Amino acid sequence: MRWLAVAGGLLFALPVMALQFLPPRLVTEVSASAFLHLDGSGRRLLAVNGQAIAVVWEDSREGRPAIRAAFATGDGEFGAPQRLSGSAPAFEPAVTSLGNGFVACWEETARIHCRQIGPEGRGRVRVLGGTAARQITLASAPDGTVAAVWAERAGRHYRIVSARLVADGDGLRQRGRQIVDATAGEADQLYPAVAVTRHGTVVAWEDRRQGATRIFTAFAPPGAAFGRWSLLNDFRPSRIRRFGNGTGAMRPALAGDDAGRVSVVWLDKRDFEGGYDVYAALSTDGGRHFGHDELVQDPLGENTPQWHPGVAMAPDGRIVAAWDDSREGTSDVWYSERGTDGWSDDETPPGGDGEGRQTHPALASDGDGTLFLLWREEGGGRIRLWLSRQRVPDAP
Amino acid sequence: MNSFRAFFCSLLLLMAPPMYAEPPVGYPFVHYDEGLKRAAASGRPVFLYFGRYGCGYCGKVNAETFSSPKVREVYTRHYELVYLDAESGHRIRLPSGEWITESELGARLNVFSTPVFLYLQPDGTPIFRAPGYKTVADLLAFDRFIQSGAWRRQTINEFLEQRR
Repeated sequence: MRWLAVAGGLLFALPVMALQFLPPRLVTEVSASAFLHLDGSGRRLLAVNGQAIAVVWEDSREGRPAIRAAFATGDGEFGAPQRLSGSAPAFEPAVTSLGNGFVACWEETARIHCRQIGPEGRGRVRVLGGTAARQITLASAPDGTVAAVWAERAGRHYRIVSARLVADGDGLRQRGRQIVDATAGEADQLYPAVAVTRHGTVVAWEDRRQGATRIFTAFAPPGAAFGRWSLLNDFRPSRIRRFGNGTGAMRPALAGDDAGRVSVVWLDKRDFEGGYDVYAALSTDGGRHFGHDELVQDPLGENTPQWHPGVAMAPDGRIVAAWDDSREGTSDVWYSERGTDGWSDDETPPGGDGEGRQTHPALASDGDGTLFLLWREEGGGRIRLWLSRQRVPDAP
Repeated sequence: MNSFRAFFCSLLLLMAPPMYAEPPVGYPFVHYDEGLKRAAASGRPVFLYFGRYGCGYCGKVNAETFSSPKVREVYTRHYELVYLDAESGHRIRLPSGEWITESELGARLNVFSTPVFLYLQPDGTPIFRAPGYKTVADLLAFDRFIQSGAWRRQTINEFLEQRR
């Protein structure tokens, strides 16, 4: 039986196949005399639907900030960008899948604008919200609708609003609009993120009612209203007597899987001397409850501030977080996968480090569990968007 | 978050006084765009205060340093005063014409601990930055560094060393 023990030992000693990405493909590029931003609430900046990939961003190649999308199908090459927004400056887009195509939303003239998009064309624009609105985020729901969540001004402050979008001819119809949480009083609620699973809808947002920016969540079972808010992040109280309200947290991002698990990441300043860190929490009941906060980045990133965290979950529950930091001198893109023992050592995708500044990553998964990583690179007088696909074992 | 931690955090919140990090009272702080516009017109340098909502040292520096009549008189007279919230999604327009949020400017300037004070030329070009809590003596010394033009010849550390 000795050989069996040795073989068993060898089996357990085999390294787990770490998540790797293929060399990236160019999505788009502009001269550095223009501006190109890859930013939006919840970092929903790419989506995959079957063989089609959609990427949305904001750039000023025609003078004013405009929202554009590019699509890749089949061979993975991206076509020419389509302009989605109108003539006014537009900001902070989001995209997700709907039916056989996609829905994109953005901020324009202080309103949320949405339209169906795809390689074959664009639908009519639908404007959401009756007052000043911004920071739209999206998530595809199991019932074939899209959850849209944004910050909308109500009196002197912003509130988080949720609605569903459904395809209606060549346009979109809004239904089920509700305020996610109406108890904030004299404080803003901003930068929402949303995930929808078979258990229901969970929304996370920045909330300032406690005198510092904190991450709150609320959960709604299918077809029901949102329940009471929960405070997501731990924080350190102020170390200075009489002053301050403790450490802050900001920019949540959410993802869910087919089993109803949800992961959330955010920037957290509890270790304020090293700047913001990426923290995560997991839920096994669709976001009704979350487990303990987990530090995502490894110790080599401890003394460097992290920025722009995003998260994706594959349908089988694998979780990947990505962000940028300057631990090696200039900004690079880093990612970490959560395993049974916690978060992995940090890695950079091919092309995600080196000369220039690689920043603002966003993640998505397709229905088969292949992960995609998008980022922005600035250097050599150009700004480029790159998309890398997960290296699937046994694939060339 | 488990119930014990939720209870503990709630208890701490009840104990915390409601003092928020905001621009110091009695100063004409304005948004970034407005401050840069005013600087271009007046030719005065910009004093840029990066704070954070709930930041303890911001509250302390506001109460203990910016309460000084001398600091108020000197900084109101010599600078266009700009306040930025390092976590804010408020959109500003840079001199280059680019629109970004206040927090994104903070990320570019690596403002990861607050407060941070930046002194800018009237066209928005940075002169130097002073992170962390500062005393009245610190801010008045920084003002002399800027107003004397010494910043064109030496670093702030060289300037301060010379005056010891």
